[in-house]
Parts: sequence; C-alpha cells; structure tokens
Amino acid sequence: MFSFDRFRHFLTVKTLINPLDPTFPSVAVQLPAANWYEREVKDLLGLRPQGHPDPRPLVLHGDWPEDLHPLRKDFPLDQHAPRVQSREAFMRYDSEDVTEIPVGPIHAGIIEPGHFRFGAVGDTILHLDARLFFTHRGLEKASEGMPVQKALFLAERICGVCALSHSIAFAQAIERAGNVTIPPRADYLRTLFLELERLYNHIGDVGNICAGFGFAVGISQGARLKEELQQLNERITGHRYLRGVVSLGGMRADVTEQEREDIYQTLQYVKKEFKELVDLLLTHDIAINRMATTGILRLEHANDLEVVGVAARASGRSVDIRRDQPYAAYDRVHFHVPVYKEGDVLARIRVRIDEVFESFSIIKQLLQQLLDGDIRTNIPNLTPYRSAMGWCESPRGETVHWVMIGPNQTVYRYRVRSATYSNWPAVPLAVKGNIVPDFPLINKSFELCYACCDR
Amino acid sequence: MFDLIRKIWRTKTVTKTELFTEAPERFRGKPVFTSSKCTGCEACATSCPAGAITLQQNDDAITLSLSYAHCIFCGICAEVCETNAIQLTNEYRLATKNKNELTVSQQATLAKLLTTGKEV
Repeated sequence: MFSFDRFRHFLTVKTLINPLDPTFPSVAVQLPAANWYEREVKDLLGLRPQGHPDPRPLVLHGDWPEDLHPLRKDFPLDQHAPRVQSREAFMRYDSEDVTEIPVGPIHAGIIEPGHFRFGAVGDTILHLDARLFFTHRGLEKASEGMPVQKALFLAERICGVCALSHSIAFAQAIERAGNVTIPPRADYLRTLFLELERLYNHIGDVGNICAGFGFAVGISQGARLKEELQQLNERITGHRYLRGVVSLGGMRADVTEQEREDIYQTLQYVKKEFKELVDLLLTHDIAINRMATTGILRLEHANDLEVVGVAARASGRSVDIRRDQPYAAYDRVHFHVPVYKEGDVLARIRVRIDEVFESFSIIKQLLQQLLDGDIRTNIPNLTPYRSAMGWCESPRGETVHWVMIGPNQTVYRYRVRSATYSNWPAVPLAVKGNIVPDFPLINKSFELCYACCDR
Repeated sequence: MFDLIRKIWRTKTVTKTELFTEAPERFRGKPVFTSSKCTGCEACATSCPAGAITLQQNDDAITLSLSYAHCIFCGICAEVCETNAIQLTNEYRLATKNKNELTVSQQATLAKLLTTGKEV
C-alpha cells in the first residue's frame, strides 16, 4: 500500500504467492522503508523476502521457533511457543578501539523496554543497534474474530499517549468499510479532541526534551502545563488520555456550552504560560547549544525511510496527513504546517512549539464553527471480507489502520502502522557521530513510543 | 538567569497533596448496579468489551457479578442499559488488599423481573 500525497490517492499493489513456496522478491534495497515491513511479514506470516539485505528477525526475537508464524490462521490463539536457542545477532566490531555499550531493555526511568547497543569510539557513537518489540502483545491476532465494537477498545489501548489517534483511525477504517458518513458535529468534535491530544503531547514533550540536558525549570513547567491539559481532558471527556470518547459512527462524548467555555479559558491560560516557557527556553544559551546541530537526521535519509510526523517536518520533509489526505474536519479549518530544514534536536523542538500554537488556532476555529446536531450514526451490516483503511495524524505522525471485515461484524484481519514504526529506523542514523551523553536527548526529541511497535 | 528565577517565583508551588476531593462529574469511575431496576436483558454482559460482567439466571433469581479487576471503565454497560440499572460513578478509589473484594455480586429476584414485564 502506497500513498501519494501529491495526487491524494492510495495505491494498493497485490500479488499472488505460491502457498507451497511462500517467497517474494524483496524491494528493501530499492525502497529502504520496506525493510521493516518485509522482516515483519517474514516473522509473523512466514512470507520470505528473497534477497533481503538484513535477514535478522524483527518482531519475534531470535528465541522464537523459526517455522512458527503467529499471524497465520492455523496458529491457535492459545498456542504456546517453545523457547529455542537465540538467533539474535548484533553488529560485530573487529577493532579493539570500539567499545560496545549495552543499554536496557530495562531503563532507569519509567520508559518502556528497548535494548540499545552502542558501538562507540571514545565518546563518539559509531553505530547503534536498537532492539525493540520486547513486549509485542499480538493485538492484531487477538482482534481476529472480535466484534468490531469491542475491537475499538483494543485499538484504543495500543498506545497510552496516542489512544485517541488510534481509536479514530480504527473507527474511520470501519466507517469506510460500511460507507458511513458521520454527522458534521462528530467530525468537529473528533478534530477538537485530536488537537487536545496533540497539545498535551507536544507541550509535555517540549518539557521532556529539557530533561535531556537537565534544564529543570523547563521540565517542571512542561509537566505542569501538560497536567493542566490532562485535567481539562478529564473534565470534558471523563478521561485524562481521552479514551472512550469515540464510537464507531461518531462520538460518545459531546461538549456542552459550559465545557466550551472551560476549554477556551484553560487554553488561554496554557497558551500564555507556554509562551513564557518557550521564551525562556529559546533564549537560553546552554539549551540552544545542546540542541543545535545535535542528532541531525538528513533529508535524504528521512525520504528514504519515509519518516513521518515531527521528525520528517524538522528535516525538511513536508508531510502532514491532516493537510495531505484530510479527514474529520481538517478541510474546514486553516492551519500552517511548520517545516524546518536543519533536522537537529532544535528543529524538532521548534516544529513542536509551532504546532502547539497552530493547535491553539485550530481549536479556536473549531469552537467558533462547532455545529449543532447529532454526534452519532449507526453502523450498518458490514460486507464480509471487505477491507478499508483509516488514518490519522497522531502527535508522533501518521497512524494508519487497515482492517478486513469478517463474517458477523467481526474483524478478520487487522494491521496497524503507527508513526513510531516508520520513525524508529531513522533514530540510529540520527545518532551516528554524536556523543553517547547526547543519545537521551536525541531519543527524546524523536519521542517515539515502544507500545506503538509492540501492538 | 533573572527571568528564570522570576518564572519560578511567580509559579510558586503547584503540587497538590490531594489532587481532587472528588473526581470531575464526567469521570468514568466505579460502576454500580441497582438490582431493583434490572430486567435481566443481558445487554450489559454481552456488550462489555472486557467480559467484566456476568449474568447467571436461576429459577427464581438472577445474579449479576461485576469484576472491577477486569473493568476498563468504558461505560458501554451504562450506555446500553435501558433502565439505568448500571451506572458509572465518579468514585476512583478502588484499591483493595484482597483481590476477591474486586468482584461484587448482586441478586435480583424473579418477582421484580416479572413486574417489569420481562420474561426470564
């Protein structure tokens, strides 16, 4: 499945594979972005890419039996896989000057599990191996045969901090499969809550990046403003992380006149405070010194790996699915997509800062335009074996859900491509040539989540 | 430097010892069951995405058990219940030392079910 933003169209390439010899020619050399997808399909479905430059397992770590493919229909949900001798391999260094530094999978903070292995010469990073997928939950397998209404709650739980983006992307896929048009008010509400999600994420991230260089005032101010926004979320939807607000065919949560005023007042306050924080941060010499020219992701690398979201826009790659393939009410509001060319940590924090102010403006437009009316329609009987896609610009970039409907309103197959999945392969490239102490800063500036990969 | 100190001074301490005495009105907390209103239609049990609600029908009574350990607080049960027999409250302090306390069962008698005109 390819998306061509310039033509606003998707293109699906289908091919038949011999069931006795499930192989296909690899395109990972020509399209480096296909690297992970091909390795994943080999792990989970046993379709082997021929001529793939990196045959290591990706999703299933090396200690999973090679001939067991969990996403195949003949693999029962309760099957237990025996543990085998690990086939895991990291980069081998022949020189004695290279020091290998293993980090994780358990980290000092409360982040999720990931193993990083640096090959460093002195303080400078020569190469980084990132081992992810430690807590892969098999949500796609678990959703098979599940009624679509229940699967929505599963989609919502893929990730904690982009819960709403995932649930909206899933709901859109189901609505597209059933040819449902949701009421205009629901469109506006979805856009409103999506922007509230972006706000609390971006403001929290700006604060978190400050933790990469020990700027305590930035960390605490960022955390404080994020808390204000999450309490706002809780007041208007009943959930700090905006769970349970979407339903298939519309919304479950509506905003009253009083809550509209609450949103307006809270955002006024947060905007003023955030402006002060930004002024402090961007005029602080040490902060700028640490962020500028650190962790540069070059445009050609970003293009080759089809990087999305904040990381793409900070490297001069102008992609934003809200503008390129509009959904919900994004075609009815005006906003600007910030793009920076530098590709360093500073550019990534600047993209976030600019987007925060864009979000304030979008929410203001939405609150003015919000139409009265229904917020929900019913989902008709879905045609079995029909597939559809839903997409959404989460705070980390575009999240795409593909669903094939099964009999009796259930999910037959499901695939989630989160923004994180597109962006992780770019992190080792941005880290190369930097010093080891800058790695936490670079990693935070990408702000990738592990759970989105471990779905 | 001075603007940093000024910002810290102006913000003061914002940490609250107790976040809120009561959760916001819309907060989806502990679901409670009013047995006198239940018609035994099982809509809640079939729609619960986490399988936290089970209904057992005996000859003259119906037992509804609700497990707070499985509940994801989505509020679907309250939404589908036509008689508002299940409602979500804003009670969020659910921690307990004994896991069995997280499952509550209530019985509704057949007589009450009959008065609602619903067959068991």
